[in-house]
Amino acid sequence: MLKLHYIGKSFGPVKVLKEISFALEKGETLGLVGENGAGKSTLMNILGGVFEPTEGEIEFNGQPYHPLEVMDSLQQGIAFIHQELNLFPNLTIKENLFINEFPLRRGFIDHHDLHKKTKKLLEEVGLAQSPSTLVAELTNGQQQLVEIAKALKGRPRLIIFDEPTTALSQEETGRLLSLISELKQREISMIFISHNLDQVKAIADRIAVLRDGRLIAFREASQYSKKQMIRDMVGRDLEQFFPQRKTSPGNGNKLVVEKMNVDRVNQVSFKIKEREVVGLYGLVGAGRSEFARGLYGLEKVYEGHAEWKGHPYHKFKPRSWIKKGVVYLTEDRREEGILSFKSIMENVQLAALPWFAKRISGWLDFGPVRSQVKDKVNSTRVRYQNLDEQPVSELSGGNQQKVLLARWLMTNPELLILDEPTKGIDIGAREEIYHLINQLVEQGSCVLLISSEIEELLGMCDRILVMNQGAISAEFKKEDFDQSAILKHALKKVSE
Amino acid sequence: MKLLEEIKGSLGRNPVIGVCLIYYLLMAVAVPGFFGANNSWNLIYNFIPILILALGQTFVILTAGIDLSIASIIAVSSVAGGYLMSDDTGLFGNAYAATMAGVTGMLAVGVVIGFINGVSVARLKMPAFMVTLTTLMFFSGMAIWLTRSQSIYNLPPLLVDAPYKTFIGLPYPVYLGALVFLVCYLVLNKTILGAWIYAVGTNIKTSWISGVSVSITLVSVYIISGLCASLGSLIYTARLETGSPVMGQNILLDVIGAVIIGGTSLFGGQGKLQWTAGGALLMTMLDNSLNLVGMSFFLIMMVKGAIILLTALYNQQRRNSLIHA
Amino acid sequence: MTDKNRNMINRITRNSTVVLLLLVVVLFSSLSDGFLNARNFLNILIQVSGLAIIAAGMTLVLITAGIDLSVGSVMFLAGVISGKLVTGGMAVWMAIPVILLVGIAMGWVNGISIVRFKVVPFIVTLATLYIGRGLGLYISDTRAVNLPESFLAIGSHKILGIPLPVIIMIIVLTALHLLLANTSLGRQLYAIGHSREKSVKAGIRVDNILLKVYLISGLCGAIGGFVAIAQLGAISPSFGHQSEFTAIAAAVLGGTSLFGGRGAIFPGTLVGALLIQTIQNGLVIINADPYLYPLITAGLIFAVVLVDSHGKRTAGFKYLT
Repeated sequence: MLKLHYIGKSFGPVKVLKEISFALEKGETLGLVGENGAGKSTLMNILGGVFEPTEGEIEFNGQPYHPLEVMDSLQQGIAFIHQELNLFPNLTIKENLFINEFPLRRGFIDHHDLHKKTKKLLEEVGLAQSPSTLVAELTNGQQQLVEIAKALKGRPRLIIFDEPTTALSQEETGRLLSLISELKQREISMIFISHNLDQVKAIADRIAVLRDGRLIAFREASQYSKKQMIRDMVGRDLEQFFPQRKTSPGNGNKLVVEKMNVDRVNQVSFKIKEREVVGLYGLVGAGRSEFARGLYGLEKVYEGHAEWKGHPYHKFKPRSWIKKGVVYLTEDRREEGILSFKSIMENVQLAALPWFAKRISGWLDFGPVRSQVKDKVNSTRVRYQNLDEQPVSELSGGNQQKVLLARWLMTNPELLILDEPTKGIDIGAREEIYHLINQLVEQGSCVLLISSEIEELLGMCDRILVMNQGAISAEFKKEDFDQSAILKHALKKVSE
Repeated sequence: MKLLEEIKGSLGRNPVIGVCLIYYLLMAVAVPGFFGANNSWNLIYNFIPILILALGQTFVILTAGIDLSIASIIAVSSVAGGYLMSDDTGLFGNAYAATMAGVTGMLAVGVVIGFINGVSVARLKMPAFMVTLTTLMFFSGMAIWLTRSQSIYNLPPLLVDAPYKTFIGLPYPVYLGALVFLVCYLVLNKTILGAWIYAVGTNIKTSWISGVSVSITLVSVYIISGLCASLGSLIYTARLETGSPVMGQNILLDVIGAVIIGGTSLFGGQGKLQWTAGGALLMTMLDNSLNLVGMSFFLIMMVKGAIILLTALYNQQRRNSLIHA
Repeated sequence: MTDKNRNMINRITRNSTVVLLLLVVVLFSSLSDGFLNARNFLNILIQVSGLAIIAAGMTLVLITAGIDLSVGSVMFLAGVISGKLVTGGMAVWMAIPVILLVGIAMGWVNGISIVRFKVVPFIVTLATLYIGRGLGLYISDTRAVNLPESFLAIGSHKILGIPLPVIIMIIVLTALHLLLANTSLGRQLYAIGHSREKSVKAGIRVDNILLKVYLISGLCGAIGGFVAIAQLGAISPSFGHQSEFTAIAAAVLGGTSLFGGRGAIFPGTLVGALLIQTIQNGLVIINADPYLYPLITAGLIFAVVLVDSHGKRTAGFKYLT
């Protein structure tokens, strides 16, 4: 029913999907697994009409399939249930379901019909709520069922679920899985993306493993053990050479965090030593960024205790941390990193300005600022044309990241929190960044490296922590580094 | 001087000065009375206060905010100054002390109201236009209430003669305008605060993450705008020789017009004081020339409104096409 | 703040306006004998009709997270044009379509600038505020336009004992309420106010709807203006000045959020308008200093916006923008 021929997708110079080919039968459920960044979401977005493939063809129901936008894919019978729900919390369930196609009677909404139709759809998905309930009042699981009901409305032939159970309770998960079984019986094909390998094995007929944009395996679920899946997900030749570091961690603790509670982070404790690189691995939603952001002051901290260089510290605010020498390189370069239309100069100087003048309103001699900026821009090897005129948005991802690193370097940081620093960056720039990290550590700084790439962590860290559902589920010292073990601890559900 | 070079250079890409020149030449030819010493004085006298007000507003707009309350700051300032300085209230023994007290009082009004605006936006997280609309209404009402709609007369000659005194051929207000421009320019371009203002206007999240004090930045720009408003009020009060509770009622149109026509973006982060100066000059010439032609004040109001709308449309179109390019 | 908490605050604020209204009534009743009687309450209803109508139109605009600062000028311009036509000999009933047309025209200019040229609503409507006021002053030559008897007759005309202004108010408010609650357009307004992006994704024709909303607001401005001048007998050059402001206050008092996605006409905006008008009425009856009115209204609006912004204060970093 669904055939993919050599699908490839590139974003600029970066190739995210390579030669993906497979076929899906009618009524079949396909489980899609792979690490973060393996290309699962991109592939599904192509099916869902969000992106167009740069190579290859798709056939759906015997016809060539080229959706130009999301509406096209819906009309042709493919529904995509995203991880971030697309509902309007300020409207009721029935309004959300029919927001652009209300049943009308003489120009006005036929509330009776609307209610009835909604009730039927809700019954299909097993949601017992009244159609007049405001979506804002529903739990995550219930909202998801509404989203599924919305998808079912169009009588789709293929439904794609992207990580449907991440935010659900046990009970809600059970309900979802039985719903999926029901849908199976209706001969609806499904693609189920998940990090929960047990779930995938339980409901999928066949399982596909993506790794680095390639389809590595495509097998019957019954003949595919979890161990084999994990091995296929990570097993790769170390294509990359990670530069060696000349120093090893010191003895004193630079930062100690105890029992930190943030949204989605539960009583996490953390230590890092001088000249140490600690890696933080986990799946999206495990709580890694949330923890770091809470620490830095970008999320609300409910509880938590920190000590910096031996002294208790409570000011979880960016400005205070920067003064102490702790900096945070955010994951989202575009929204929270660069000042898009501003020059490299303006971007790099931003955090370090208070060092260059006595008062905020006092005279600032830009001479020293400039030379420092030039210095840092050179040491981070940013490739640019003009320091003052070129807007940072014109630079490549790698160079933008280096600009941001230059910004932080100007503040002489002692601890750098790097959140996915090499995401979406080409190999050349990556290596430069690794060298830079080593240099910084050799000079005395320490680094908390949050990453979704196991090898990056294996190559750069002295210690790796694995987070799972808001808590630290494992810690690996350098001598105990083991790819499969690490992934296993990230995938395992804490409740097991 | 290097500073002058800087100022000239950055104006390069903005057509506003060019348009000013063309407009001046056109009007000089087409409108009798436009060209000449007499009218040039008029232009200068009208230009300076608008310039000062618009410079203050530019700071606020650079942070993606807006200050609608300047008219009320002008009114309360005028009234406060009048009250302190007037012979009728006779608060101070000698005219010098009275004038000093008056001027200080006027500036204080600008700072206080600006502070209220700033804190509401920065800490109470209220939308800038609603806050400043509220302060506009409140303080306009207060000025009228305090004076029972009566103007205050008998202001000290020290104040009242000042706008007409000259120094090396130029009247005092010109020096005030130049001084304000210089100080504003230095603050915006040569201090940390200036860099913070541009950063906050560009991306407030990024600024916060990079250690910028968003609160201080936002409160500062509203105080600056308030201060500029009271300086403008100083000039108007001196020229009118009256402390008036209804002063500055239609000023917002010219001020916002000056900033928008100058090319500063309402979305924040992009704009320069030189541009606003050009815009203020254009608005002044527009007002002056249309008056000379005999257009009634409400038609002029319409024309100004239309020009602001068209300029905003044009700027937005240019921005949209840049994004889609 | 979770959506659940926000809903609770909504409910409290919505009901608190009714409570405030009752308190205000009690307050003024105790301060003066002339307040608490049927005739005065009828007066309040008549006086509030203009405000309620423009506030209703404003409510729709606010729900989409937009704003219309030009309604005061629309009131003025529509009134002036029709006033001039009628004094010039046109029959009163013919002036009515003219009034409506002026409102629609202004609304159209606003809508097109916002939707097609993508200029932010408050700059567009600020500009049309001046353009409209200027045009009106030009047409009236800055002099008060004295309206003929026929206008006032409309103002005091009664159907079944209910004054015409009040009837018009009820009709307009009911129509808009039905629009909001029972039509696709109405429900989609809430979606757009919550998130324009999501709405586009969901297949809603956002631009089309926004244009209509500004047309409606302009129309309400014109109707509200008509209802107001029918009681006055003359249009002064400052007629309608800052009315947009009280209209916004009435809507926000009634539970509409400046940030979009929330709001209702019944009871919401109507109660908000009644609150403002009752305070005004009460101040007059107790002979309060008239110079204090704008101060009190401004203070009230500030308090209301302060409460409305509660969500932004507690959400911390996430809502920074």
